[in-house]
Amino acid sequence: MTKEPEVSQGRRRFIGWGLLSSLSAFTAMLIYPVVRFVMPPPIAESVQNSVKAATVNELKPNSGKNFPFNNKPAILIRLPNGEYRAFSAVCTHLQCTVQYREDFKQIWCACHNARFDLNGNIASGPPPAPLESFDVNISGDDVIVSKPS
Amino acid sequence: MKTYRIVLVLILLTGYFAAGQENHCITCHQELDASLALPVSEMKDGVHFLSGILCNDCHGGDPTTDDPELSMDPAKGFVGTPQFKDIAILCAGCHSDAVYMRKFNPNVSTEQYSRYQTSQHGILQAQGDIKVATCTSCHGVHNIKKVSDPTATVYPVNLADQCGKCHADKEYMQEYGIDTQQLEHYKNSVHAKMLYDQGDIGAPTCNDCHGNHGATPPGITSIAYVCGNCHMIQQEYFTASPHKTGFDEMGFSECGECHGNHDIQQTNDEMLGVDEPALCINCHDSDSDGYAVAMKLRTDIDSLKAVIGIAEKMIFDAQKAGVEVVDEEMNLAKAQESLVHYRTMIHTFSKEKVNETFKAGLESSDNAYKIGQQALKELSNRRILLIIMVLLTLLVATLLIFYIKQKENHIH
Amino acid sequence: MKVEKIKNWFNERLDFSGIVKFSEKKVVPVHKHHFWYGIGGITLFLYVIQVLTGILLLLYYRPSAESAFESVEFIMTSVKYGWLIRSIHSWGANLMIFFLFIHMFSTFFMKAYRKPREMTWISGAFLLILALAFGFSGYLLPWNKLAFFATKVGTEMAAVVPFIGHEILIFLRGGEEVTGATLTRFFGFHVALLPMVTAIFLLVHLLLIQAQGMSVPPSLTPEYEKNPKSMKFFPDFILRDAVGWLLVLGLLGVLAAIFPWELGEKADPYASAPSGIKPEWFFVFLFQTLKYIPGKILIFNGESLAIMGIAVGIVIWIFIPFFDKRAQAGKPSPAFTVIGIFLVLYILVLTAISYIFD
Repeated sequence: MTKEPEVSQGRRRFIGWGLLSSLSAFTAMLIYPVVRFVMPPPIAESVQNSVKAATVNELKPNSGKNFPFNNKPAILIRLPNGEYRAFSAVCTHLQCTVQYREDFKQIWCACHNARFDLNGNIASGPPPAPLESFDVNISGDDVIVSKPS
Repeated sequence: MKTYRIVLVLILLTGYFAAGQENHCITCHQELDASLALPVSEMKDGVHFLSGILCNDCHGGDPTTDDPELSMDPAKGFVGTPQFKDIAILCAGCHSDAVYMRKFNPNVSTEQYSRYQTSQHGILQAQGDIKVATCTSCHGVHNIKKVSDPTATVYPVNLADQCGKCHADKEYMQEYGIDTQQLEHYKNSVHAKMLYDQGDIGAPTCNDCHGNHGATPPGITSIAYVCGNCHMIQQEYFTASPHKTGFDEMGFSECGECHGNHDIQQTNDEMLGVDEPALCINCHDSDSDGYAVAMKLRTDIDSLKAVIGIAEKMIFDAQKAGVEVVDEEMNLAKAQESLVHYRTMIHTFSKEKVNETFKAGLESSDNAYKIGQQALKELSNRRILLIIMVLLTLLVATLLIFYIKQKENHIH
Repeated sequence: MKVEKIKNWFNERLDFSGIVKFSEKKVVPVHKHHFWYGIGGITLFLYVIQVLTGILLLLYYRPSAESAFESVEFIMTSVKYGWLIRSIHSWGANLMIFFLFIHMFSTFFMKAYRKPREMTWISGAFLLILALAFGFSGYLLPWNKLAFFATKVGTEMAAVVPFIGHEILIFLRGGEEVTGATLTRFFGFHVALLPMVTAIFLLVHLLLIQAQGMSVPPSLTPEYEKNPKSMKFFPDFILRDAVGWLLVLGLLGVLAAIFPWELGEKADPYASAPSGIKPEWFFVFLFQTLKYIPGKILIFNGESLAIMGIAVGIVIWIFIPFFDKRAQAGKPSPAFTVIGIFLVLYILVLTAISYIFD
């Protein structure tokens, strides 16, 4: 009879501690994902309405830069007079990615030699429609490109 | 010629000053019956009338009097209906005069007549042929509209039919011994589809390849340059390729040999390669270099399409399961672009030149595929994580049951 | 003994003695079927999980046609453990309704609805309707093709109600058709209106249970009265409850891991419906029933008659305590047991037919 309580004592303590430690691990396991969840991810919004395309003075006048906007290529150009413009970089012909050409100061598509003027309108070549244009705003040191309002 | 021009200008000036006065040609003729009144009603829509150029400016005569003897007096320059052989010269009287035309449009061209003289129509007409086209045959007589006017006979959408009035008429063209199927073929083409169905007036019609005033078919050795006016890149590649000299030597029609001339269809990958209905094997035997190039070009395209397809499926599956696919999509777009690029580059007909594009395409779709694989791996990682969580839960539950049982025993 | 100090601090300000005494006295009858007493607790546990995961999802979800699907995609792909919270919420909803049905039928078969617990049953019936409304409104929120058409078909049923059917349809849809307006409206129902009304009914339901304790089924009452065994609610029964809750949590984890909830494709109001559109599983037996009703019964529109019939059935079900006279008297009531069995079989068979053959 005296042996039984001893065995149960050992078992009791094992179960007690086992329960406590596993319960703590369990609670931590529950809390951890919730804490990670409530801290927002790096891209804070589901639908990007605006994005920082470049820093001011990153682009010299008469140059361009391609950047992603809503998972699609977009292009930021700086005109010879210093003004910024931004367009969708998806060519309206067969969806190749366009680029800025400093030599003839137009937006050019390498696939079939299409050219767009600095307003995104078709200058020559096969595209059926102009490039979609975006709004550009300077905010402090950033050049922000956003969907047209 | 010069005398005639001066006379015409004087008449014009008279007409100009007389503009404030009534033009009796018009007022008389509109009272007459059908065939004589028609020119008046037709005129009213025309560009000449709107610019103040009236009957007497072409037909001569004196519009200030309503006496037929005086107004239609040859002494006053009246010529009546001009003879066929004189029409071009009559029009050229104004339209070749840059100084004169500047008044109406500083930029309008004035070389139409000199071009016409080099054209097949002009050459035959100078020899006395009255069946060929002259100015009025295409532009109309009294109701000539500006070329940019959609109701003009020579507006791009209307032009092919205008040419077809003669060139599609078998009987009419019989004595010239040239084909009359061109209009029908053209209407079947991808260019016609763009022009008529999509309303894209940038699409070529007869005059864009043959010229309008200087209308002549492009010669065999210049076809690539003509097509190259729009299809610049393909022309560049073709001209540098072995096909250019080869085709020219054998009298083949450069672009037309594979693409046709009037009945040009939308290209497809089947035209390339060594299996029917590919065009390459029409010339290249299975032991030739050309055959090997054709085979590589087609196999490359098929491979690119296949890997892009696989990557696309992966994106679709991952997306549906809710896994992030941003970078994958960008890579896929790049791969697609390489494919578009490759299809243009085949005109180099060179295994070496296309290789870089091919490799780029493979690399992009490979990247997309890898990212997709990673995404799906992430899915299975999640499962492992959750299974661990489930095991931990079961552990706690089991220990809890032991705890409960133990409490019961302890009580009893 | 920090715990003692804290207890004293509260006791000097509030009198908890009543509550403490009640908790110590609260017991649960122990008999052959006492296992079923835990099912209601599991349903409640799942509701709490829904509220918690729902609140978390609210941090990122956007209730407009233009951004709803994208925001759910964002949660699934970009937010850390978003996929987990979302899958738990979607599976939790289904588990909650599943256990709710089990709880409802177990209390039915145990005749727990008899005097003095009629109000508990009635408030429970309303909780059932509220839960189904939660399910229906929540299903649309991801704005995918499947949900869009299921909502279209479901709300179409409303129009069949005589006289006011069309008005009900307009109220539900926020217009003639299912549009972004429907989405916003359903969102309002799902996160504000329904939780508020549910809180009230839940409070009534739980208070009644605390006040009246657990019911012992009539068939076991004679035996129980001879030898009344019971266990303390705190801590014995609640520990057992906890095991159940842990297992349910584990089940949720397994489901989220092996069958993650799909995003689907974004809804397109102008596309045609894919074939085989069904409402969610808990409505399927009703949907299938309607398919078998002939177009016209005598001079009446078949569907309208069927829906009216179902409505009448629901009303009877809500007030079943007053129909079962024998149970009211504390006597075994086999007739109603048979009705219950028939109902369960009907639901199972029609649901099965719909999934196997259609």
